[in-house]
Amino acid sequence: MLEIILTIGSAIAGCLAGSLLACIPALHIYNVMGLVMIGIYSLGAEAISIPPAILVPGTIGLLVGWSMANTIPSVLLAAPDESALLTVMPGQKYAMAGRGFEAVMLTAFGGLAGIFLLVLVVGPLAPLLMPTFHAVFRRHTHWILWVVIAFMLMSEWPRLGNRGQGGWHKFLQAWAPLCAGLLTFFLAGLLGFILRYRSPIVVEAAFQNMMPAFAGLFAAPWLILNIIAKV
Amino acid sequence: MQALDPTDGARCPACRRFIGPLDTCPYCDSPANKAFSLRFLRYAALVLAVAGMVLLFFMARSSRIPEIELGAVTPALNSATVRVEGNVAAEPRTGQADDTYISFSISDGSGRLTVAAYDPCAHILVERDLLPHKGDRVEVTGTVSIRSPGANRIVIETPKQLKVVKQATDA
Repeated sequence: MLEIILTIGSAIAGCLAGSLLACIPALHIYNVMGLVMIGIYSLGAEAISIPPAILVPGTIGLLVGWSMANTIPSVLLAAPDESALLTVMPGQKYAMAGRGFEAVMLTAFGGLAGIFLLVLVVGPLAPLLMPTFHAVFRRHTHWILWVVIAFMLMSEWPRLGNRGQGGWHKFLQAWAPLCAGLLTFFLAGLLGFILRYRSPIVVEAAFQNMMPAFAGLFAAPWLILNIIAKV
Repeated sequence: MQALDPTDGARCPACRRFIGPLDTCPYCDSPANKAFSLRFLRYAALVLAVAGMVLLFFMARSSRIPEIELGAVTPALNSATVRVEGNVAAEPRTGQADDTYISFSISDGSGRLTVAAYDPCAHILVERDLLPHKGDRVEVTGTVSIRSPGANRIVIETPKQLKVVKQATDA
């Protein structure tokens, strides 16, 4: 009985903490979880262990709470970049029209519906279907990923069409996004290889080797975009 | 007197809709000229990204994969690429009939670690008869993967990451 109470209490505490942390702009929950894990390992070194019945629901609650409440800063405080055009832009549109609260509630409702779908449909069916999916897709993952990459690069295809006057200016204008996309792809790929196989992070903290990349790739651009866009 | 709109630079000059930092309005396709500071920032970001990656690349080339003792593998080392050396404690075993998974334990006196390989690496190891035998001393370079307390593993992705340093019969 005590374990059930601790599990539920831990999940609720995690949710509350995640919801509060979500209101801090540019703070990603994975960074927080990394710090939590450092704390847990430090406690482990002092021979103080936290039972999985508390740790697991707590971290999942942290993640779920953050994912749900993160809508607030992303709709009300963020400037969207091009990649978030279709997802954040409608929220921004609502926010600029003075209907930010409505946008947040709609997104939260969608998130809640997703959780119910996950718990009631995916949860029971996943153990039955996942082995089959795994067996089918295991040998095809590489070309599926190549198709996704090809789609991403082709989405940068020149969009100007036949509008405007021809010439070098138009040629460069058309190819600039494609070249930028290719350059971004190769740089991101190289960064991924380096982080995975030769991370500059010391080996004793390797479980957090993505943390600086998260801060540099997501938090800093997000803040700079907000400053530039005067949001 | 008209009040100044602080978001003016983030609006499309043609349709006045909010477009943030975009160059072209996604609603009406009109070009939205940005201030010099934004253009400068874009080029600066490009230079910084390329220069940063070049520096990271040379750093990665010059850095050595750390060698650690098996007993030093802790959860904090999860996802680390490390080199370990130890004696094969038991004959390698395959997870499935089609050689899609291979694992074996190694020990060095300070601790014990499971070496794991998945398809296609596992298949190549079997096909080319590169698997070590009990008692062999091996050097393994791979990624530490700890899924649960006590289940410490090092995962190899290519056959080159597994070297038999000394065969059991040589001892």
